[in-house]
Amino acid sequence: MKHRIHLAVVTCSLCALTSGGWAREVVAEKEEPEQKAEKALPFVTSYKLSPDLFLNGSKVVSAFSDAEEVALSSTVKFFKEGRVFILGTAISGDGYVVTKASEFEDGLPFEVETLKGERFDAELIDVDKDEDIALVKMPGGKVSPVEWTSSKETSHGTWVTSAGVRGEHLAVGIISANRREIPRRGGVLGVLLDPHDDDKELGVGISAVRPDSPADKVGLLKGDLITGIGEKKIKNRRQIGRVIERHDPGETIELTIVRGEENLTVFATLAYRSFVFDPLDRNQRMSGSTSIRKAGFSEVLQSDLPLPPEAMGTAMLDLDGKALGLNIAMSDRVTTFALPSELVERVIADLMPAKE
Amino acid sequence: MMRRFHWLRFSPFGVLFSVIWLAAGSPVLAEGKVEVEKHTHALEKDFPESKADLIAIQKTMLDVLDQAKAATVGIVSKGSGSGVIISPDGYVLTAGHVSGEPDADVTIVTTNGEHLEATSLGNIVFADAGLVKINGDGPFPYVEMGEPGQANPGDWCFVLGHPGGIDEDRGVVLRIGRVIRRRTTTIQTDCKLIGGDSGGPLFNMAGEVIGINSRISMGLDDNYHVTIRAFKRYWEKMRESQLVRIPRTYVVRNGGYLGVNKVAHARGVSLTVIVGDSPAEHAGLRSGDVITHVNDEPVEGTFDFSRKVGSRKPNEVVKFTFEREGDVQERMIELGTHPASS
Repeated sequence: MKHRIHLAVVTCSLCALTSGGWAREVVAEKEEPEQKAEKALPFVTSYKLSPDLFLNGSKVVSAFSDAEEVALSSTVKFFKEGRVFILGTAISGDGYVVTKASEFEDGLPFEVETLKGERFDAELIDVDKDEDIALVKMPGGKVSPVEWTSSKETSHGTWVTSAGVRGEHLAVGIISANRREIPRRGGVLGVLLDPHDDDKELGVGISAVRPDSPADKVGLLKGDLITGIGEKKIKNRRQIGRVIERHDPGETIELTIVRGEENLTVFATLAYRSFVFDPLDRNQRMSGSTSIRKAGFSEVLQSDLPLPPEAMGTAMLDLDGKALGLNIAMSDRVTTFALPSELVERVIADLMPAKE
Repeated sequence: MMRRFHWLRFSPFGVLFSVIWLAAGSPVLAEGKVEVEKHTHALEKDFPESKADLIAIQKTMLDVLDQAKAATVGIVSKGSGSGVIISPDGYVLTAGHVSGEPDADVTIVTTNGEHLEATSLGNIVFADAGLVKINGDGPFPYVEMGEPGQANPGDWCFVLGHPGGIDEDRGVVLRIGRVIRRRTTTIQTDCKLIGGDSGGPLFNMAGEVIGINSRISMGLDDNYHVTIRAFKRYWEKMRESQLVRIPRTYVVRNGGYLGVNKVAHARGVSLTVIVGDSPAEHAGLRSGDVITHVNDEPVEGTFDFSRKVGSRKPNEVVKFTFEREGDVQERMIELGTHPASS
């Protein structure tokens, strides 16, 4: 899950929600030329573009040199258990950094490293759970802060760039869609429910339990009946969806279960929807590893920056190296969300401890 | 023209390829219209050398983007895909696997959210080219198709589409990139695609459609589009709602046949599709296998592989060496005859 597969070999036709046989039949790429027919298509080929000339190839990226300097001097890497799990952006000269808050929810100890390789202890000062921004202080760490600029002038096609995979290389792309809200998604239990039980008064049967889901962790089994959540009696599937949806990922709910003759009570801590259900989604499977939290932002700018989920927390820069926003979620292989600079600055002002 | 020779330096196969290309492609090029654009100097460079070049590229795209967006549509058939209107009376290019069976009812969703009734026409299955006609005469906002054979590696391009389905708040989604490679019916670019983009347009910087989004592999640079050549070549058949499953080229194939589709791989070719009831399937080859050697000769790309297989006779037993999940394996496989030639 943690490594993005860049050169895997699965070819896949693209029809979303494919049904029937079409998609299976259309993947062919048949243009071998060697035996020309009288009426054959003229054989036309061209050799492959050298990778350094791709959009994200080294030669193209070098045109973003102004931004590169800023990206490389303002980005920090967060380590836990010996690996980079997220990046961050310096916002002051005295060691304050912003990053993606939900990546810190496991509470594990972490360290910060500058791109020059200096490592510092750091402290999580505060988080804004709504917008998924964390403020971190790294005492002693000297990193150049980014300069925020208005995001209002951006539109489809505006060039953007960010520190890339491990912070060292730039990723480049453009603003690709309308600025908008990404509505909140509630937590999930990770069960599929039996549609046949909707009319029964007893509760709702579990038809499958997703591996590693909250339901799996508390030992729920296929065939269990969910009869209550908290104080609420459960009679149909829609009710379960509605009740659970109100809770955020990370919240714990009490479930009343009937298993055969037994009555059980379990406490399940809800997970992010994407953590549990992305493996069932073809577009997500074609995207490799993506951000676990990718919804619930009051406003985002969308880009096609090719960044892995570990490279969130970086500033999304314009061609001058000014920060238009903070990359906050790699949603799929064509979609990266950034919180606009105005929103980030407002959150920072709220999170910053008052000056003495 | 300069660029083509530039590529010669990059590939050991360049000389061979370019000879064939010249023979077949030049007449088309000579007839094709050459767009002289305001910002072409930046577009003609092998790569942008400065911020000014980047801005010039962006401006060129923005000049044509509004029209491109207006002509790009969502298509709801069995699934959800994209398409592009290429005539004022409402012909819509899309992927074959989006338009599906000819003469079916589909719904077109325009950029401003209008839902229009439409009918699927022909489908060139092997190329994944499909055609849809909006019911009614229009006029509809449209874009021009480019001339076949004009998209070359290094050309700047952009795609539009509805990844993951139509989302009115998000709108149509733009991605920029460059042409990586062009074959007869397929263009590869690094304009990143995903499910739902299928059928959406690939544009050159003059705002002409040069491809239709078709398929991807896991790599971010593995985005494949149907060429305009495929559409123009089969235009009449598509308008007449015909279904074309096998290209004519194959009728005269009389060499050895394995029954695989493949893409180039650093160590040979990587199999993407195993044709049902083919020698490859009977021998147990699988999608994902990387064939490195044919009769102990190293495989250098798809062209070389096809030559190595096609130059042998049907019923000849050939040794294939391949990598599967880190293991190297060998199979002796008796080649067959191409289904279309028997």
